[in-house]
Amino acid sequence: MRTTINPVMDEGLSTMEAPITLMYWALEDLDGTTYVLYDLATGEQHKVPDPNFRRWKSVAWIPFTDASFVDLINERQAQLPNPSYVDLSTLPVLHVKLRDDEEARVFFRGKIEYSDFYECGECGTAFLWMREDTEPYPVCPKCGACNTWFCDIHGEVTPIFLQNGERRCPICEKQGPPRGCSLIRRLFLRTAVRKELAYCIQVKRGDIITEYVINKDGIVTVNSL
Amino acid sequence: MAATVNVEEGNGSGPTWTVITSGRYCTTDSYNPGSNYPCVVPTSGNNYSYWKHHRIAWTGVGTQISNIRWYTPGNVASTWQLGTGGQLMVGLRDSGDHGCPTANYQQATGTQGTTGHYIKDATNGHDYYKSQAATPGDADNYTSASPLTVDTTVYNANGASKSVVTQVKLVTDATQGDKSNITFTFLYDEI
Ligand SMILES: [Zn+2]
Ligand SMILES: [Zn+2]
Repeated sequence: MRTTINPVMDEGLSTMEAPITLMYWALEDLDGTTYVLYDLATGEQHKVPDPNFRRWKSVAWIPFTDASFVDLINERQAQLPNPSYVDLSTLPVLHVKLRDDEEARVFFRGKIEYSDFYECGECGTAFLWMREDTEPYPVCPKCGACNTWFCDIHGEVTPIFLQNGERRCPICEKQGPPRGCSLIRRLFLRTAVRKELAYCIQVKRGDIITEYVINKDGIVTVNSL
Repeated sequence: MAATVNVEEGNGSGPTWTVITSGRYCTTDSYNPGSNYPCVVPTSGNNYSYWKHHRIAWTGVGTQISNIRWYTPGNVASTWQLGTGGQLMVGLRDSGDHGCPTANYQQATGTQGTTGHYIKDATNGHDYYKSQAATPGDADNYTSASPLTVDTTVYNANGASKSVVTQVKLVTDATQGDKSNITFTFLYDEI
Protein backbone atom coordinates (compact mmCIF):
# COMPACT_ATOMS: atom_id res chain seq x y z
CA MET A 1 0.00 0.00 0.00
CA ARG A 2 1.44 3.37 -1.00
CA THR A 3 0.18 6.72 0.15
CA THR A 4 1.72 9.91 -1.16
CA ILE A 5 2.38 12.35 1.65
CA ASN A 6 3.66 15.81 2.25
CA PRO A 7 6.95 15.06 4.01
CA VAL A 8 6.61 18.03 6.30
CA MET A 9 3.35 16.74 7.56
CA ASP A 10 0.48 18.96 8.69
CA GLU A 11 0.31 22.71 9.01
CA GLY A 12 3.43 23.44 6.98
CA LEU A 13 5.75 23.05 9.94
CA SER A 14 9.40 22.42 9.53
CA THR A 15 10.80 20.06 12.10
CA MET A 16 12.79 22.75 13.86
CA GLU A 17 9.89 25.05 14.70
CA ALA A 18 7.47 25.25 17.59
CA PRO A 19 3.95 23.97 16.95
CA ILE A 20 1.22 26.50 16.18
CA THR A 21 -0.79 27.60 19.22
CA LEU A 22 -4.56 27.79 18.63
CA MET A 23 -5.76 28.65 22.16
CA TYR A 24 -4.61 30.72 25.13
CA TRP A 25 -5.29 30.27 28.83
CA ALA A 26 -7.26 32.76 30.94
CA LEU A 27 -7.36 32.45 34.73
CA GLU A 28 -9.79 34.22 37.04
CA ASP A 29 -8.47 34.66 40.57
CA LEU A 30 -10.63 34.52 43.70
CA ASP A 31 -10.53 38.35 43.97
CA GLY A 32 -11.61 38.77 40.36
CA THR A 33 -8.17 39.53 38.90
CA THR A 34 -7.71 37.87 35.52
CA TYR A 35 -4.49 36.55 34.01
CA VAL A 36 -4.17 35.85 30.30
CA LEU A 37 -1.34 34.16 28.35
CA TYR A 38 -1.06 37.10 25.93
CA ASP A 39 -1.55 40.76 26.83
CA LEU A 40 -4.72 41.77 24.99
CA ALA A 41 -3.35 45.26 24.23
CA THR A 42 0.29 44.54 23.36
CA GLY A 43 0.42 40.82 22.45
CA GLU A 44 3.23 40.32 24.97
CA GLN A 45 3.30 36.81 26.44
CA HIS A 46 2.98 36.22 30.19
CA LYS A 47 4.15 33.33 32.32
CA VAL A 48 1.46 31.38 34.15
CA PRO A 49 1.11 32.78 37.72
CA ASP A 50 1.42 29.26 39.16
CA PRO A 51 2.20 26.03 37.27
CA ASN A 52 0.89 23.94 40.18
CA PHE A 53 -2.57 23.26 41.58
CA ARG A 54 -4.12 26.24 43.35
CA ARG A 55 -7.52 27.76 43.89
CA TRP A 56 -9.08 29.86 41.13
CA LYS A 57 -12.60 31.16 40.55
CA SER A 58 -12.42 29.76 37.03
CA VAL A 59 -9.91 28.61 34.42
CA ALA A 60 -10.29 28.53 30.65
CA TRP A 61 -8.71 27.86 27.27
CA ILE A 62 -9.95 30.37 24.69
CA PRO A 63 -9.51 30.06 20.88
CA PHE A 64 -7.99 32.88 18.85
CA THR A 65 -10.92 34.40 16.93
CA ASP A 66 -9.64 37.97 16.45
CA ALA A 67 -7.30 38.37 13.47
CA SER A 68 -5.77 41.62 14.75
CA PHE A 69 -4.93 39.96 18.10
CA VAL A 70 -3.25 37.08 16.22
CA ASP A 71 -1.24 39.56 14.11
CA LEU A 72 -0.22 41.51 17.21
CA ILE A 73 1.08 38.38 18.94
CA ASN A 74 2.87 37.05 15.85
CA GLU A 75 4.60 40.38 15.20
CA ARG A 76 6.00 40.25 18.72
CA GLN A 77 6.95 36.58 18.40
CA ALA A 78 8.88 37.28 15.21
CA GLN A 79 11.31 39.38 17.29
CA LEU A 80 12.10 36.49 19.67
CA PRO A 81 14.92 33.94 19.34
CA ASN A 82 12.45 31.04 19.66
CA PRO A 83 9.26 32.37 18.08
CA SER A 84 6.04 30.50 18.81
CA TYR A 85 3.27 31.54 16.46
CA VAL A 86 -0.48 31.50 17.00
CA ASP A 87 -3.35 31.17 14.55
CA LEU A 88 -7.09 31.72 14.30
CA SER A 89 -9.25 28.74 15.16
CA THR A 90 -12.84 27.64 15.49
CA LEU A 91 -12.22 25.48 18.55
CA PRO A 92 -14.78 25.80 21.35
CA VAL A 93 -13.99 27.58 24.62
CA LEU A 94 -13.06 25.18 27.42
CA HIS A 95 -14.16 26.89 30.66
CA VAL A 96 -14.27 25.33 34.13
CA LYS A 97 -15.78 27.14 37.14
CA LEU A 98 -14.28 25.81 40.34
CA ARG A 99 -15.99 24.96 43.58
CA ASP A 100 -14.57 26.08 46.92
CA ASP A 101 -12.99 22.66 47.50
CA GLU A 102 -11.35 22.44 44.09
CA GLU A 103 -7.92 23.47 42.79
CA ALA A 104 -6.85 23.62 39.16
CA ARG A 105 -3.94 24.09 36.80
CA VAL A 106 -3.67 24.64 33.06
CA PHE A 107 -0.98 23.44 30.66
CA PHE A 108 -0.25 22.47 27.07
CA ARG A 109 0.23 18.84 26.15
CA GLY A 110 2.75 18.54 23.34
CA LYS A 111 2.85 15.61 20.97
CA ILE A 112 5.74 14.89 18.59
CA GLU A 113 5.27 12.08 16.13
CA TYR A 114 8.27 10.91 14.14
CA SER A 115 7.91 8.45 11.34
CA ASP A 116 9.95 7.28 8.45
CA PHE A 117 8.80 7.50 4.86
CA TYR A 118 10.29 6.80 1.45
CA GLU A 119 11.51 9.53 -0.85
CA CYS A 120 12.01 8.79 -4.54
CA GLY A 121 15.50 9.77 -5.68
CA GLU A 122 14.27 9.98 -9.29
CA CYS A 123 11.25 12.30 -8.98
CA GLY A 124 11.25 13.48 -5.36
CA THR A 125 7.84 12.02 -4.45
CA ALA A 126 7.43 11.22 -0.74
CA PHE A 127 5.29 8.25 0.16
CA LEU A 128 4.40 5.81 2.90
CA TRP A 129 4.63 2.13 2.16
CA MET A 130 3.18 -0.90 3.93
CA ARG A 131 4.45 -4.34 2.99
CA GLU A 132 1.77 -6.51 1.41
CA ASP A 133 1.92 -9.79 -0.45
CA THR A 134 1.01 -8.02 -3.67
CA GLU A 135 3.77 -5.47 -3.22
CA PRO A 136 6.66 -6.96 -1.23
CA TYR A 137 8.97 -4.03 -1.83
CA PRO A 138 8.46 -0.24 -2.10
CA VAL A 139 7.74 1.31 -5.51
CA CYS A 140 7.40 5.05 -6.22
CA PRO A 141 3.68 5.72 -6.81
CA LYS A 142 4.48 8.48 -9.29
CA CYS A 143 7.32 7.24 -11.52
CA GLY A 144 7.51 3.55 -10.62
CA ALA A 145 11.13 3.66 -9.44
CA CYS A 146 12.21 0.96 -7.01
CA ASN A 147 15.40 -0.26 -5.44
CA THR A 148 17.05 -2.75 -7.75
CA TRP A 149 19.86 -5.28 -7.57
CA PHE A 150 22.78 -5.49 -9.93
CA CYS A 151 25.11 -8.34 -10.85
CA ASP A 152 28.48 -7.33 -12.32
CA ILE A 153 28.02 -9.96 -15.03
CA HIS A 154 24.24 -10.08 -15.60
CA GLY A 155 23.12 -6.53 -14.84
CA GLU A 156 19.77 -5.95 -13.11
CA VAL A 157 18.47 -9.11 -11.46
CA THR A 158 15.99 -10.19 -8.80
CA PRO A 159 18.36 -11.59 -6.19
CA ILE A 160 18.09 -14.64 -3.99
CA PHE A 161 17.79 -13.38 -0.40
CA LEU A 162 19.79 -15.53 1.99
CA GLN A 163 18.97 -15.67 5.69
CA ASN A 164 22.30 -14.08 6.61
CA GLY A 165 21.39 -10.98 4.60
CA GLU A 166 23.48 -11.92 1.57
CA ARG A 167 21.90 -11.27 -1.86
CA ARG A 168 23.09 -13.52 -4.68
CA CYS A 169 22.63 -13.33 -8.42
CA PRO A 170 20.17 -16.12 -9.43
CA ILE A 171 21.84 -16.64 -12.80
CA CYS A 172 25.38 -16.96 -11.42
CA GLU A 173 23.99 -19.29 -8.74
CA LYS A 174 22.83 -21.73 -11.47
CA GLN A 175 25.79 -21.41 -13.80
CA GLY A 176 28.82 -21.45 -11.56
CA PRO A 177 30.41 -19.85 -8.52
CA PRO A 178 27.91 -17.81 -6.48
CA ARG A 179 28.18 -14.05 -6.82
CA GLY A 180 26.73 -11.30 -4.65
CA CYS A 181 24.56 -8.46 -5.97
CA SER A 182 24.87 -4.79 -5.15
CA LEU A 183 21.89 -2.60 -4.35
CA ILE A 184 21.04 0.36 -6.54
CA ARG A 185 19.04 2.51 -4.19
CA ARG A 186 16.50 4.82 -5.79
CA LEU A 187 14.20 5.11 -2.78
CA PHE A 188 15.56 6.64 0.41
CA LEU A 189 14.23 6.45 3.95
CA ARG A 190 13.62 9.84 5.54
CA THR A 191 12.03 10.89 8.82
CA ALA A 192 9.07 13.24 9.05
CA VAL A 193 8.15 14.96 12.30
CA ARG A 194 4.64 16.16 13.15
CA LYS A 195 4.09 18.42 16.14
CA GLU A 196 0.83 19.44 17.73
CA LEU A 197 -0.52 20.87 20.95
CA ALA A 198 -3.52 19.94 23.06
CA TYR A 199 -4.90 22.24 25.75
CA CYS A 200 -5.38 20.79 29.23
CA ILE A 201 -7.10 21.66 32.49
CA GLN A 202 -6.70 19.49 35.57
CA VAL A 203 -9.10 19.93 38.47
CA LYS A 204 -8.19 18.44 41.84
CA ARG A 205 -10.76 17.69 44.53
CA GLY A 206 -9.40 15.72 47.45
CA ASP A 207 -7.45 12.84 45.95
CA ILE A 208 -9.33 12.91 42.66
CA ILE A 209 -7.90 14.68 39.64
CA THR A 210 -10.12 15.20 36.61
CA GLU A 211 -8.36 16.07 33.37
CA TYR A 212 -10.03 17.91 30.49
CA VAL A 213 -8.12 17.95 27.21
CA ILE A 214 -9.12 19.65 23.97
CA ASN A 215 -7.04 18.75 20.93
CA LYS A 216 -6.42 20.70 17.72
CA ASP A 217 -9.42 19.02 16.08
CA GLY A 218 -11.75 20.18 18.87
CA ILE A 219 -12.16 16.74 20.42
CA VAL A 220 -12.55 17.02 24.19
CA THR A 221 -11.61 14.09 26.40
CA VAL A 222 -12.24 13.85 30.13
CA ASN A 223 -10.26 11.46 32.30
CA SER A 224 -10.06 10.70 36.00
CA LEU A 225 -6.46 10.26 37.15
CA MET B 1 3.96 30.34 24.01
CA ALA B 2 5.02 26.87 23.01
CA ALA B 3 8.60 25.68 23.29
CA THR B 4 10.46 24.37 20.26
CA VAL B 5 10.82 20.66 20.95
CA ASN B 6 12.70 18.18 18.78
CA VAL B 7 13.45 14.47 18.85
CA GLU B 8 17.17 13.72 19.03
CA GLU B 9 19.23 10.56 18.59
CA GLY B 10 22.50 10.03 20.47
CA ASN B 11 25.47 8.39 18.76
CA GLY B 12 29.18 7.92 19.28
CA SER B 13 31.15 7.90 22.52
CA GLY B 14 30.64 11.63 23.14
CA PRO B 15 27.75 11.30 22.55
CA THR B 16 26.66 13.55 19.70
CA TRP B 17 22.95 14.38 19.77
CA THR B 18 21.42 14.94 16.33
CA VAL B 19 17.87 15.99 15.47
CA ILE B 20 16.35 12.86 14.03
CA THR B 21 16.53 12.52 10.24
CA SER B 22 16.41 8.76 9.78
CA GLY B 23 15.66 6.56 12.77
CA ARG B 24 16.30 3.33 10.90
CA TYR B 25 17.42 0.48 13.14
CA CYS B 26 20.63 -1.01 11.80
CA THR B 27 23.78 -2.89 12.78
CA THR B 28 26.09 0.05 13.28
CA ASP B 29 26.11 3.11 15.54
CA SER B 30 24.76 5.75 13.14
CA TYR B 31 21.84 8.13 13.09
CA ASN B 32 21.69 7.98 9.30
CA PRO B 33 23.01 4.62 8.03
CA GLY B 34 21.41 4.96 4.59
CA SER B 35 21.02 1.47 3.18
CA ASN B 36 24.18 0.21 4.87
CA TYR B 37 24.37 -2.21 7.80
CA PRO B 38 20.79 -3.57 7.62
CA CYS B 39 19.48 -5.77 10.39
CA VAL B 40 20.21 -9.41 9.62
CA VAL B 41 17.80 -12.32 10.11
CA PRO B 42 19.67 -15.00 12.11
CA THR B 43 20.04 -18.58 10.95
CA SER B 44 19.68 -19.65 14.60
CA GLY B 45 19.05 -17.85 17.88
CA ASN B 46 18.45 -14.09 17.88
CA ASN B 47 20.02 -11.14 16.18
CA TYR B 48 19.65 -7.55 17.37
CA SER B 49 19.98 -4.11 15.93
CA TYR B 50 22.41 -1.77 17.65
CA TRP B 51 20.42 -0.03 20.40
CA LYS B 52 19.30 3.56 19.96
CA HIS B 53 18.90 6.45 22.40
CA HIS B 54 16.05 8.84 21.53
CA ARG B 55 15.12 11.85 23.64
CA ILE B 56 13.37 15.19 23.28
CA ALA B 57 15.28 18.48 23.56
CA TRP B 58 13.74 21.93 23.83
CA THR B 59 14.38 25.65 23.71
CA GLY B 60 12.07 28.54 24.53
CA VAL B 61 10.50 26.89 27.56
CA GLY B 62 7.95 29.14 29.30
CA THR B 63 7.86 27.96 32.91
CA GLN B 64 8.35 24.21 32.80
CA ILE B 65 8.31 20.97 30.79
CA SER B 66 7.35 17.71 32.51
CA ASN B 67 5.59 14.33 32.22
CA ILE B 68 7.57 13.01 29.25
CA ARG B 69 6.21 9.80 27.79
CA TRP B 70 6.63 7.68 24.63
CA TYR B 71 4.53 5.20 22.71
CA THR B 72 4.26 3.09 19.56
CA PRO B 73 1.27 2.10 17.39
CA GLY B 74 1.34 -1.31 19.15
CA ASN B 75 1.96 -3.35 15.99
CA VAL B 76 5.67 -2.87 15.34
CA ALA B 77 6.61 -6.56 15.53
CA SER B 78 3.98 -7.66 13.01
CA THR B 79 4.41 -4.65 10.70
CA TRP B 80 8.16 -5.16 10.53
CA GLN B 81 7.75 -8.97 10.35
CA LEU B 82 10.33 -9.57 13.05
CA GLY B 83 9.37 -13.24 13.41
CA THR B 84 7.91 -15.35 16.22
CA GLY B 85 9.03 -13.65 19.42
CA GLY B 86 10.83 -10.91 17.50
CA GLN B 87 10.03 -7.41 18.74
CA LEU B 88 11.14 -3.85 19.18
CA MET B 89 12.54 -3.94 22.72
CA VAL B 90 12.71 -1.02 25.12
CA GLY B 91 15.03 -0.74 28.15
CA LEU B 92 13.11 -0.90 31.46
CA ARG B 93 14.09 -0.09 35.03
CA ASP B 94 12.71 -1.91 38.07
CA SER B 95 11.23 1.33 39.42
CA GLY B 96 10.99 5.02 38.61
CA ASP B 97 11.47 6.50 35.18
CA HIS B 98 12.38 4.08 32.40
CA GLY B 99 14.32 6.70 30.45
CA CYS B 100 18.12 6.65 30.58
CA PRO B 101 19.66 9.88 31.98
CA THR B 102 22.01 11.58 29.55
CA ALA B 103 24.88 10.99 32.02
CA ASN B 104 24.22 7.23 31.71
CA TYR B 105 24.24 7.20 27.91
CA GLN B 106 26.19 4.24 26.58
CA GLN B 107 27.33 3.88 22.99
CA ALA B 108 25.80 0.95 21.10
CA THR B 109 28.19 -1.88 20.28
CA GLY B 110 28.09 -5.29 18.63
CA THR B 111 29.37 -7.03 15.54
CA GLN B 112 28.98 -4.40 12.87
CA GLY B 113 26.88 -5.61 9.97
CA THR B 114 25.55 -8.63 11.84
CA THR B 115 24.12 -7.95 15.30
CA GLY B 116 24.14 -5.49 18.15
CA HIS B 117 24.67 -6.51 21.75
CA TYR B 118 21.48 -7.27 23.66
CA ILE B 119 20.59 -4.43 26.07
CA LYS B 120 20.40 -7.00 28.86
CA ASP B 121 23.57 -8.90 27.93
CA ALA B 122 25.39 -9.55 31.20
CA THR B 123 28.77 -8.53 29.78
CA ASN B 124 28.18 -6.21 26.85
CA GLY B 125 24.70 -4.92 27.65
CA HIS B 126 23.66 -1.39 28.58
CA ASP B 127 24.97 -0.56 32.07
CA TYR B 128 21.84 1.37 33.01
CA TYR B 129 19.55 -1.62 32.28
CA LYS B 130 21.53 -4.88 32.28
CA SER B 131 21.65 -5.31 36.08
CA GLN B 132 17.93 -4.66 36.55
CA ALA B 133 15.58 -7.51 37.42
CA ALA B 134 13.30 -6.22 34.67
CA THR B 135 13.97 -7.49 31.19
CA PRO B 136 13.60 -5.15 28.20
CA GLY B 137 9.93 -4.70 27.38
CA ASP B 138 8.03 -5.22 24.16
CA ALA B 139 7.53 -1.70 22.76
CA ASP B 140 4.17 -2.88 21.37
CA ASN B 141 2.87 -2.88 24.96
CA TYR B 142 3.33 0.91 25.11
CA THR B 143 0.54 2.60 23.17
CA SER B 144 -1.35 5.89 23.38
CA ALA B 145 -3.60 4.30 26.01
CA SER B 146 -0.62 3.23 28.17
CA PRO B 147 2.54 5.12 27.21
CA LEU B 148 6.01 4.42 28.62
CA THR B 149 7.04 6.77 31.45
CA VAL B 150 10.31 8.19 30.14
CA ASP B 151 10.98 11.10 32.49
CA THR B 152 8.99 12.60 35.39
CA THR B 153 11.51 15.37 36.06
CA VAL B 154 10.09 18.93 36.08
CA TYR B 155 12.44 20.98 33.87
CA ASN B 156 12.51 24.77 34.31
CA ALA B 157 15.10 25.64 31.67
CA ASN B 158 16.19 24.73 28.17
CA GLY B 159 17.50 21.19 28.04
CA ALA B 160 16.73 17.60 27.14
CA SER B 161 14.92 14.62 28.62
CA LYS B 162 16.10 11.16 29.55
CA SER B 163 16.28 8.78 26.58
CA VAL B 164 14.16 5.89 25.43
CA VAL B 165 16.58 3.04 24.68
CA THR B 166 15.30 0.61 22.05
CA GLN B 167 16.58 -2.13 19.78
CA VAL B 168 15.07 -4.55 17.30
CA LYS B 169 15.21 -8.28 18.07
CA LEU B 170 15.00 -10.56 15.03
CA VAL B 171 14.44 -14.31 15.12
CA THR B 172 14.93 -16.96 12.44
CA ASP B 173 11.50 -16.59 10.81
CA ALA B 174 11.75 -12.80 10.47
CA THR B 175 11.52 -11.35 6.96
CA GLN B 176 14.62 -9.77 5.42
CA GLY B 177 14.15 -6.67 3.31
CA ASP B 178 12.62 -3.19 3.24
CA LYS B 179 10.57 -2.25 6.29
CA SER B 180 7.10 -0.69 6.32
CA ASN B 181 6.82 2.86 7.68
CA ILE B 182 5.93 3.28 11.35
CA THR B 183 5.20 6.29 13.60
CA PHE B 184 6.54 6.73 17.15
CA THR B 185 5.32 9.45 19.51
CA PHE B 186 6.65 11.50 22.43
CA LEU B 187 4.24 13.34 24.76
CA TYR B 188 5.11 16.12 27.20
CA ASP B 189 3.32 18.69 29.33
CA GLU B 190 4.34 22.32 29.07
CA ILE B 191 3.34 25.61 30.65
ZN1 LIG C 1 9.47 8.61 -8.39
ZN1 LIG D 1 25.11 -12.84 -12.21
